[in-house]
Amino acid sequence: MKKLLSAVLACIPFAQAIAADTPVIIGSKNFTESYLLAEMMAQLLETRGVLVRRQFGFGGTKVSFQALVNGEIDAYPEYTGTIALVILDGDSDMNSVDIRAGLEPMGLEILAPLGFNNTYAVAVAADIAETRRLEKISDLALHTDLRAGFSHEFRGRPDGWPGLAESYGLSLNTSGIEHGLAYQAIAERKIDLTDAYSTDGELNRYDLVLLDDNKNYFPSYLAVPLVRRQLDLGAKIILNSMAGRLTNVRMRELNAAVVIDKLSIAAVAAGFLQSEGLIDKRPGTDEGMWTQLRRNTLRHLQLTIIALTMACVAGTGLALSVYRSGRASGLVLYLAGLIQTVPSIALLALMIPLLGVGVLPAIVALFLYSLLPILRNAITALTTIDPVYRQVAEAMGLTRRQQLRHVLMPLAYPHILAGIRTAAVISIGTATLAAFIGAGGLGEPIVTGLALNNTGLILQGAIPAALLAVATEIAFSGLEWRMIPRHMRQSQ
Amino acid sequence: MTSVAVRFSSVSKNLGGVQVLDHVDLEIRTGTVTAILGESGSGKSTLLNHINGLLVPDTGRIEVLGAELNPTNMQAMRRRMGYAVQAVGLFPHLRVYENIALASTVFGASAQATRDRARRLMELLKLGNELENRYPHELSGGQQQRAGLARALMLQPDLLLLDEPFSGVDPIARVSIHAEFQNLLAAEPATTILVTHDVREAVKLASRFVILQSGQVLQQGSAESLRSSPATKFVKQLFENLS
Repeated sequence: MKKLLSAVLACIPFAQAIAADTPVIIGSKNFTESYLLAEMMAQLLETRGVLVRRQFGFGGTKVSFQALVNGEIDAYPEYTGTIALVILDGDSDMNSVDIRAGLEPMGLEILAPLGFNNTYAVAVAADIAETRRLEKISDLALHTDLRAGFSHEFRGRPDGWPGLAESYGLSLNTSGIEHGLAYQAIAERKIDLTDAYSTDGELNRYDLVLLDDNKNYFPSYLAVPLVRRQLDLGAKIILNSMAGRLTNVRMRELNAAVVIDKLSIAAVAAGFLQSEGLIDKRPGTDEGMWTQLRRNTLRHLQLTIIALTMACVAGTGLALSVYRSGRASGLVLYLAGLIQTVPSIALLALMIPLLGVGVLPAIVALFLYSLLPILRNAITALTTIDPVYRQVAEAMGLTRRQQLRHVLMPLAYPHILAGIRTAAVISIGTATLAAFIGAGGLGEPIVTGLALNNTGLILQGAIPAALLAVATEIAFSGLEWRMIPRHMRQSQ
Repeated sequence: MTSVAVRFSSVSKNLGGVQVLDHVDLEIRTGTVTAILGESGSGKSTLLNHINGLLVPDTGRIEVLGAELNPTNMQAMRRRMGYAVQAVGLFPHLRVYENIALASTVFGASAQATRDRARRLMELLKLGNELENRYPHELSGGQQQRAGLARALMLQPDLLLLDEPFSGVDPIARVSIHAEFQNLLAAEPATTILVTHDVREAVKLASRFVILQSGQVLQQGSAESLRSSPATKFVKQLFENLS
């Protein structure tokens, strides 16, 4: 058992090493523009001979910021308003000098603004705007029946809906919605308005109108590369060559090329950089679908297998050490049950302050999630063994260890295996969420696809994840069939 | 070896508020087959389980095979005692052969010695070779009892503890198991303690008798002595109807 444990522990630094052996790691949040800007930054560096690794699709500002502070990424595109309010806890009229001063103690800095201002906006379907004569945000005060679906971040952050409602005196029924699905929801008349980014390419497709921010409530959100101060000076200079080149209109067009024309992020980024004369030709790093699929699947397996192995060792070990005491078993099961009640995405988020982002926190979260089914089945199995078997084994003169090895464990094994099987299938499902904290895996195309409203991409993650779960189920059936006598199998 | 295999000196045991053994004094001589007789709840199985240390007395002393059981000698002593119970308790994950051979295998006997011993026992107990690779649930009740008996005898125990081992079998099968059991004891004599509530079975297989009632020893001795001078009406009734 010790050997197995040390083998598993040995895998963890290995997993971390994967995330650490490239010099410049570019991150992005999980929406089109962030992907595009990050990809531009990456390509620009690559054409100048800098080795780049992409860690795209973080599920929010706090996550990507934390990743930057922890050194898990070196740079990602951010907006001045977001930095002021969310990161520095300041107010919206912070200027760039204040921002720089605020970031310095954190070991971070912003580079020159890229040119456009992607501020929040409120988008309404054009026909509703017309019939209700909505032009300005303040007009909404008279239409309390409108249904607002806001992205979770907008609904939660102080400069989002809470501040907007107060500033304009609005009271609307709001609900949370994944930003990538909001316009579709408006088109299907499920909601009437949503928050939008002023450079959003989708605005063109869905015939949406942006309401005028007549009280200048929204602060300016100038796009800037947010980087670690330690980042190589040469890299900073290269990134600064993008300064001021992107207007609002240009950015919206580029976004539209991705979300409407379905061009790849890499192609659109390269097209822009070429048209600006920043690169000669697109660097040949665009991975084919199969390469991506292979990489994502391997990462997915790596996450689940390491977590599951740890959970097997810890779960069975813990079960063996407590099963003789009813109170200890009860307590352990209660605690494991508590962990299980934490929603998986919340559990992943809770890992961020403790372990940062990336592979390690994802593995720990998956481990905690896998623990309960294994623990519960192992304890139940060990405590419900027919007392006659214990009595006979004991009377035979077997030591406690011999009883465990030859009698109790083999009798408990079918239940334990069933627990591991449940844990494996849960892990494979839950691991798709690990992409939100930058751990990669098959969740990556799902998260990206959701952000880009690209069904093809979503399926690129969803189908293999589903197949993997089914294959796991089949593999465990095979294992059960091979290792457990028919009359003792859990699934007949 | 001492001529007394098991000696109880004023052994008492209270389980969940019930006095299951009440100052029991008892001597079982080496080489005898002794039947412990009594009604359900009289303390028969409890008494047996004190001999192999599954239960520990509240007061009194128990000597088994010349020694008192304690945590240090417990496992070694148990390996000198065979144990078979009514519920049989053949391990469901092991085949019949594996069940019989388990103790021998675990305690490090050679595969050849284990095989020879297991085969001999199976033969003596009329368990056909074809049963070796079956799982316990694939055997009849009688076959399970025989396999349980073979497992108990695997290590050639000095002391054989049998807790109603034949009671789960139908009367016809029981007759033949009795016969095989007698053959077996003739081939490999062992001090045997047989717990049963069936007086006929006891008289057929045993030479000495211990009568228990409410945790107390009413009387012990040979069949003749019990029949000729029963200590109580209960003992008299037990033995008078036997031909």
